[in-house]
Amino acid sequence: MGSTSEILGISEEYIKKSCRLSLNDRFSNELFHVDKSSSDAVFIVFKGVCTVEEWFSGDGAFGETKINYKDWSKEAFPSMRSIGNEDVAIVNQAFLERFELVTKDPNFGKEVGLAVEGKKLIIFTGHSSGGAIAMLATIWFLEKYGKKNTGTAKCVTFGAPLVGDFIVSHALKREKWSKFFIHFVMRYDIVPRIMLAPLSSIQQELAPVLQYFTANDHPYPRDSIATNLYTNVMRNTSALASHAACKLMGNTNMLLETLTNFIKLSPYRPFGTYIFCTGNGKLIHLDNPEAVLQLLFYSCQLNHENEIEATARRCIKAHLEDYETELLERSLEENVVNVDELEQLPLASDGTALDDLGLSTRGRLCLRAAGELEKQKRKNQDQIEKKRPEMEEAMKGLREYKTFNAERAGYYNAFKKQDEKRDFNANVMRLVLAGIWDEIIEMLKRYDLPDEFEGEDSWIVLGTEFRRLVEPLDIANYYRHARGEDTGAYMKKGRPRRYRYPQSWLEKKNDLEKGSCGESCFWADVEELLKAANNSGGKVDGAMAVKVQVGVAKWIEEIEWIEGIEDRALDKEVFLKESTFLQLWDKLGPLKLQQERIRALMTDITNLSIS
Amino acid sequence: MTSNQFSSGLESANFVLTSDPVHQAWNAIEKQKQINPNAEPSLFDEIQPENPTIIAFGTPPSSLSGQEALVSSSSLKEDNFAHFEFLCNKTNPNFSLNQAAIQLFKSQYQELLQLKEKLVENSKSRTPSLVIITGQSVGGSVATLFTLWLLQGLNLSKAKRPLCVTFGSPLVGDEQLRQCVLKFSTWKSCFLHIVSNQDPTPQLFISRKPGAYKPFGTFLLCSALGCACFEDPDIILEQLVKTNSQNQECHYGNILSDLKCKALCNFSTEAKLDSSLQACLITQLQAIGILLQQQPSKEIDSLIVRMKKHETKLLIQKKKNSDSDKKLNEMKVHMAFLEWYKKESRQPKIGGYYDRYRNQGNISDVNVNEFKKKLMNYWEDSVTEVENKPQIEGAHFRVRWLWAGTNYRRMVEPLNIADYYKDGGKNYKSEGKRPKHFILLEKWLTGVVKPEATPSKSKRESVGASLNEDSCFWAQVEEARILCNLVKNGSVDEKERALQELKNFEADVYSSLKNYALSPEIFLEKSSFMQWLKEYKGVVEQPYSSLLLDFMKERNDQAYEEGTFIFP
Repeated sequence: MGSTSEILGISEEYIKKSCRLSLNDRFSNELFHVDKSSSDAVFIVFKGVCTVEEWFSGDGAFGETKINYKDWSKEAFPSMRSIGNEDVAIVNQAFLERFELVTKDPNFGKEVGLAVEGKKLIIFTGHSSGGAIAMLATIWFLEKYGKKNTGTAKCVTFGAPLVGDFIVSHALKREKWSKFFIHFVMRYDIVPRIMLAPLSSIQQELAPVLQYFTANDHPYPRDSIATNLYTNVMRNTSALASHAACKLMGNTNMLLETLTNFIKLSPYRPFGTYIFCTGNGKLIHLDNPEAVLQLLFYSCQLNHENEIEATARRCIKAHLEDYETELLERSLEENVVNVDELEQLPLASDGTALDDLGLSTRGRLCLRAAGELEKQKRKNQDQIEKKRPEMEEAMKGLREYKTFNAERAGYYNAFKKQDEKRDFNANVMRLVLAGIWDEIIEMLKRYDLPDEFEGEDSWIVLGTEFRRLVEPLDIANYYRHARGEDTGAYMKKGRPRRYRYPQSWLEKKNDLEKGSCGESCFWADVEELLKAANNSGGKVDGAMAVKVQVGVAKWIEEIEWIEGIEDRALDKEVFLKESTFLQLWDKLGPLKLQQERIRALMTDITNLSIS
Repeated sequence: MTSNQFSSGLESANFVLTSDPVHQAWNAIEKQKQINPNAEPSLFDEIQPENPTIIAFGTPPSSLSGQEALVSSSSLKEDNFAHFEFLCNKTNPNFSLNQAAIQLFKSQYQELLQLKEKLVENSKSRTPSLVIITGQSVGGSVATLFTLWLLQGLNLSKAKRPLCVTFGSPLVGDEQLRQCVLKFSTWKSCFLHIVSNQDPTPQLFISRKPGAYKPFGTFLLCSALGCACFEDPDIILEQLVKTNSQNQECHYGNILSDLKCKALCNFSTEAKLDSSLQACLITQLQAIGILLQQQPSKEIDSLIVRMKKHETKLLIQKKKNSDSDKKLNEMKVHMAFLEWYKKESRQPKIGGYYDRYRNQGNISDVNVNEFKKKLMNYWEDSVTEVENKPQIEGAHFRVRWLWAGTNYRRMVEPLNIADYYKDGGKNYKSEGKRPKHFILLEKWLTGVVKPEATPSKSKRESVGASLNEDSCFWAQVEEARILCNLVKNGSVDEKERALQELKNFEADVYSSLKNYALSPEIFLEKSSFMQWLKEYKGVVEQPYSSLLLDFMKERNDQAYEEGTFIFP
């Protein structure tokens, strides 16, 4: 157990200051407020909003929308997706719209720019819905400045509602940004749970409660309102938590799937670090989002059915009143308890801080399952890491195969012919690699690998090498069996995921457009063009012909070099005498581009092979 | 391994309990009782037309006692009631249903047929409504039968699955019925049976006819303390028998709303345990009111052991499913080896891979034998699995899978034939010696591919690398060689018959060539085919000429191999 600032990466002073600024309602008419009174940090405080429409907008049952639903947000949040699976993050539309207003305020960009220039830490903070805006602002900042490490930021929220789905959490972990988010949640605060219920179930209760939260002099709503709100929110939280727990526990009963068709579950999930305030000074620190979701339900259960009114009241008051007493009037130092190794959590109360959250054995089992799943994901990765030597062995073999053929017809053509024993050996190596990679992709599809995986440099490098070296063989194999005839072009019908995924990784890493790293598909384009050129009635796709030739010129010109990647995108073997590309080149006729470099190279190589 | 295993019975129960469909179903039953208390003349009512469509089956007032008799599907069929025959499959050709329930079903057959057709039609619309089918007591039994019948009409690759919720229903069928339902991969997930430990109805038939009835689907067992989901049929049976109450009618509405309130409460039932699985199971038993005291008894201990076994079984099943892709890739590697073996054997002095393997002169032939065995084991299992699927589901197998199987059959069956004839076997095809999975793979292919009148250009051009389309071609060659011997050494009668058969075979070969359905490898000098041809020329009456012999004499096999020969 370390000190608060060590565990959280932010000093107690700044947490308290964030809290004080967030709870201060002097600036309630501003979109945001900038505080520069600290010497090395700038606080940007977002104010909460008070109408139902400012919490829920759009058509989604939970006020949700895809983060790329507008052009500006598509540009502002390019990383908020899963890369291979191409799932786009879902966020709360109303909060996103509110943040759009913030970005349109020239002052916002200016203040952020100044802070970055001054090498100051920026702390985005807010209470309630203000915290939700702070989260979006932090993601926006990280997208803009995080990659080049030009600025540093933290997000500190107090009783904030959830804003994004599982993909946000997944993407933040992959980008290694998750640690910049710290959320303080009172054990009995209803607000962090509100987004787990569909608007239709709480619409009537929400308006008076929100008014009570934001307007100074609004009276406490009737008890029945509080009770209804509590019951509906918690019931939905319970359904969602149980549904998630079933998955964590490896449930195989498909009844759940059948039932899920009949109901709508909230898409929102926690992300970043959560600190649950128990109410007696203890601060419980967790960064496993699945475990946080379970805690959101289990820590707010009733002790007895007849306590419902009192608990409901407490759940509303806590949001407004408790953060101040809990965080400002106490020393936070030494009170943070870090909960890790969830999978070994004791199943009964044991005198540690988790007791103060009132966890039952059932709740503890769910936390264990959350820990176990994380552990399983790491184990899955270990398992494939162990296969690296086998992969490298096969890659080495294929590299030798390529080198051997470089002086002959080129490995693409040799493989397509399959005349020699070494062609067969290459095929076996291809299949071995395909097997391992397919396994990896299957795991990614099910999100069974750690979230970080698709951002790991060593895998991006290996994936790119694999793709460049082996995909031509897959293409050769595809066209060798003349599969293009009845099943369509390789790129449309035949391209395996094991090449699509690593291509997306590389494009993401280098901030390139989708499709821009398709160099390993070169031969597929050539084959398709050749097929069209050979077919007397067929028409050669002019655009594709240009693309292929320009591509060749470009790749050869600026030998694309990525740190650590051994295999080149294209080699001179493209121009070998028997190469499929040359067959095509001969037939292109008027579509032949007068690319000086291609011509020069061709003369070079033709001379070379003649002499 | 068991230490990090879980059982999610409590969590799935809580999910069921806190989500709407179960409550919607019960409300529909209440409403049905109001509008049609005796379930007459119609047994069911549509309570809600859409989103979801809710059909509630009523319960006729007659008593359930003495209604435990079962009737077998075969006697139903004899009675001209074969509407549930679709459930049967090869391994389970027969099953039994509760007679009373099927009687009710029969009595309303026309109305039910209309309902089914309407729901099937709805499932094909652009925005199909979800469907809940429900009923209490025997009404639930008929709801179960109807749902099974409805499932047969739905295309589940497009339509969403219906949900059947029963409340305190007696069981509807035997172990065979359960087996039949399980063969449909997703059907059992449509059935949710809610049973209170205060309700005597669900155990009625079981205690009167022990062992005859078996449950399928998920059971939500409820007590005053809580509820949990169970799937293991034996454990469910055991728990059902334990209810001992004389309540006549159970009000599930109250039970459910009570439990729903309790779901928000934290029960400090604490178990001082270390194993997650053990704790999961104990909390489940506590919830259904079986385990009251802290220290479990011997009986409970043995129950927990059996529950653990069930969980382990589920885990193994899951792992098996995830391993199947890996296995498929392994098979691809084996096939690549065979492909190479075939390629290497393509020399005049060897005569192709069939003859090389038949002569077994090389160490690599032994390896090939290994690959052959592994591939045959894999495909045998794979085909059996598909075959055991009920017909309507089996028909949907992937065409890709069938092509992989076809490629396998054409590559590997010749090796099997070589082994068979090398050991002096005869009549591979006609005497039932041909492995069944080859026969099935061939049969299924003819169901998918329509033969072409003339071979396409691409088919001709790729003939060089192709396999014989008829995977039994070499068996025919072997038979033909035996026939040649018969012409030489047999009696006059035998001679004549054998010669006729040889001529038939010769004609078959020629028409296969015309269709570019034979690999040019058969023309390799040392191949069994070329030897047959030599033998045939020796025994046939002279002078003799035929299309095949002319084709060979004119050395058209060269052009055939290149795909340029056009048959007249």
